[in-house]
Amino acid sequence: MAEEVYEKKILDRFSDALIAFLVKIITLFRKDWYRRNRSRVEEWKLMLYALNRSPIGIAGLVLGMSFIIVGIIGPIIAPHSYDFSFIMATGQYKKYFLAPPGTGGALLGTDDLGRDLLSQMLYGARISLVVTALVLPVGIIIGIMLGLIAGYYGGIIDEFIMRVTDMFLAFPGLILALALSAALTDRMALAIANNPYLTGLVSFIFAVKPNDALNMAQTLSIVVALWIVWWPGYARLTRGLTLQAKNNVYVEAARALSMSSVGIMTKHILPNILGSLLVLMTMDVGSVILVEAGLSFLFGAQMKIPDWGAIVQHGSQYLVNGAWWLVMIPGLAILVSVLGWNLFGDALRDILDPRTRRSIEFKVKKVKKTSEEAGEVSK
Amino acid sequence: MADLKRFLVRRAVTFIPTIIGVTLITFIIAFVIPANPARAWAGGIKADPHVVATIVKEYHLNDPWYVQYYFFMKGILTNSIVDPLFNYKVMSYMLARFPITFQLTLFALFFLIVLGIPLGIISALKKDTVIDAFVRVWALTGVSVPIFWLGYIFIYVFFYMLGWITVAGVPYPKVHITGIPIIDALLSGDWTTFAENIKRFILPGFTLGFAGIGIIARLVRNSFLEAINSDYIYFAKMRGLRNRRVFMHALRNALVPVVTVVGLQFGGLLGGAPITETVFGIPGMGRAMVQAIFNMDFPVLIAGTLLAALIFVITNLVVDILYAIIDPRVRF
Repeated sequence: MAEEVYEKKILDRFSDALIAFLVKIITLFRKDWYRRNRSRVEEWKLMLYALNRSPIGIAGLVLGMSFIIVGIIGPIIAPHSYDFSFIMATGQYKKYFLAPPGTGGALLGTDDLGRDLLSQMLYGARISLVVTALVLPVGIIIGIMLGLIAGYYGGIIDEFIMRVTDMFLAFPGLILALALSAALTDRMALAIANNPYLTGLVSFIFAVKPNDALNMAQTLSIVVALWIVWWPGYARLTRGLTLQAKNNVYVEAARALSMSSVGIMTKHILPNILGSLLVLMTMDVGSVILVEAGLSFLFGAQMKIPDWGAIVQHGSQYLVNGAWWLVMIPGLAILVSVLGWNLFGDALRDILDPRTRRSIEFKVKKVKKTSEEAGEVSK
Repeated sequence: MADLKRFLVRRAVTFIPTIIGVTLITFIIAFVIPANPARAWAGGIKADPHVVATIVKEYHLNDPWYVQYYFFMKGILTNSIVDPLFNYKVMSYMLARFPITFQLTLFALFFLIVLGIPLGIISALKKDTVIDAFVRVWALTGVSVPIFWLGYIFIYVFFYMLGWITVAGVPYPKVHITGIPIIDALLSGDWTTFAENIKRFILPGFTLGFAGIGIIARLVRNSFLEAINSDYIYFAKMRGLRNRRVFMHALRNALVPVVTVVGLQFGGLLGGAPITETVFGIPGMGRAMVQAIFNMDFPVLIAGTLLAALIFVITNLVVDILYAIIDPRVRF
C-alpha cells in the first residue's frame, strides 16, 4: 500500500540532514535514545517543515543569524580599528570631518573625529552580541527557577516570590537599569583593573585592546543591571504556566510514585511549558538588543567604546549639520537585528502551538511515496 | 459588588509592601552601592571637608540605613527635603514635571486609540489582505524599532528638512488651572499656546505611541475576529439584525480586553519616558530621573521612582476595577 509522505523542498532536505546529525550526536552518548524517542524526532522534523514553509520565520532566522555572525566576525573583518581616525591618519581634516558615506575609504562615512562608521559598527555588533549572550541566560534561569518554585509550592512561598516580582515590575525598568549600572560602574572598573585575567577576558570577548578593557566597565555594569531587570517577566510567565501544568494527571502520577519535587519540576513540568517560554526567549533576544541600545544611548559619551546606541547619541549632535548617516545607519542596524528575532519568534509561536501548527502542515502538499524515497523515510 | 470590595481591600494591602519595596530598592542602589555620596554632592575629590561634614550631618549619612531610609522617605512625602545639588524641594520639583509627562502620555494615548483601534477593526474586516499584512508588519516593527532612532528620523524630516514643527521647551499659558499646559490653554481659550503645544508634542506623542499602536491594532483584530465568529453574533444575524447593529454588538465585546491593555500602557507611560523625553528635549519626569542618575542626585531619583511606582500601581488597580465594571463575567 502506498504511504503518503510530505513533498520535500531543498530546505526540508537540509533540515532533515540537520536533525539526522543531531540524532547521531545524541546516539553517541545514549545508544538507545533514537529508538525510544522516534516520535519526538518525527515531531521535530514536522516543526522544521512548518518553519520552512513560513517566509516570515525564514526571514527572521536569516536576520537573527546574521546578527550573530556579524557579531562574531565583525571585529575581524572590520577595515579599521574602532578608534582609528582618518583625520589622524591622513591629516585631511576638511575631507574627513563628517564625511558622507562613500568618501575615500570610509564606506559608511565618518563622524566628527574622522572615525570610520563601518568599523565602529562592526565592533559595536560584537558588544551587542556579548551583552545579549550574557544577559539572557542568567535572567531566564533565575526567572524560571523562581517561577517554578512559586507555582509548584504555592501558599506563602508563592505569595512572597510574587510580591517581590510585582515590586520589580512596578519599577520603571529603564530607570532601574540605568541607576543600577551607573552605581555599579566604578566598582566594576575596579574589579577589572585589579584582576589581570578579567582584563584579558574582557578585552577578548569584546574584541577591544587590553588598554581599553577598563572602559568596558560601563557595558558590564549594564549586563548586571539587566540581570536584575530581566528575571521578573520570566518568573511571572513560568508561574502561570506551572499553575496550569501542575494539575495534569502525569504530575499526579509522578507524585504518587514518590518522585521528588525537584524531579517533578524539572522532568515533568518544565519540558511541558518550555514551548511557550521558547517564544518569549526568542523575542527577548531582540528586546535585550533594544534595551541595551537604549541604555547606551542614554549613557552617551560615558560609553568610552561606542556601541550602536552610543554612536547614535554621539551622532545626533550633528544631525542639524545634515549628518544623517551617524544616526540612521546604526539605528537601522538595531532595527534589523531586533526585527529579525521578533519575526522568528512570531513564526515560532505559530509553529509551537499545536492548534496553529496543524494549519501550516495542511499547506504541505502530500504526494504518493515513490519507491526511491521509500528507503529514506523509513530509516 | 461585595466581592469587589473584598478584592479592593486585598489589593490595597498588597499595594503598600510593593511601594515600600520599590523605594527600598532605589534607596539601596542610591546609598549602599556608591562610595561616598556626600563627597560627590560637595564637588568630588577636591571637596571641602567642612562642607562634606555638613552634608553628612544634614542628610543623616552616618546613621544606620533604616534611619536614613526613614529620614528620606519622610522628607520626600512631607516635601521637606531639599535637593543637595540644586537647592529646591525635591517633591515639588518632581510634581512640577509630572504635568509635562502627563501631557506627553495624553498625546501618545490619542494616537493609540485614534489609530490603533480603527486599524485593528479594518484589518479584521479585511482579513488576509494587504491592510492586514501591513498591520502585522507594523506591530512587529513597532516593538523592534529603537525609539530614539524613530525620534531622530522625525526630527530630521519634519524639523530639519520641512520645518513644520518645533522641538524643545514647553510653552505655558498664563492661566493656571490644572497645571497641564495644553488643557489650561484649551480651558482659557489661549489658542496660540494651544497650537504651540500641539506643534511640540505631536511628534513625541506619535513616537512614544508607535509601538503601542501596532500592539493595540493586533489585539483589536484578534479579539474582533473572535467576537465576530462567536455564537451570539451568529444568533444576532439569524434574528435578522442589520449589519450595523451586529457590528456594534461584536465591537462592544471585542473592546473589553483592549481597555486593559490601553490602561496598562497608560500606567507604564505615565512613569516617564526617558528616551523620548531626551530625544525631543521635553522636561518630563523621565528626563529628570536620567539627569538625577548622572548627577548622583539621589533624593530626586527616589522621589521619581516613588511617584512612578505609585502611578503604575494605582493605574493597575483602576484598570482591574474598570474591567469588572465593563465585563460582568469577571468575578474576583
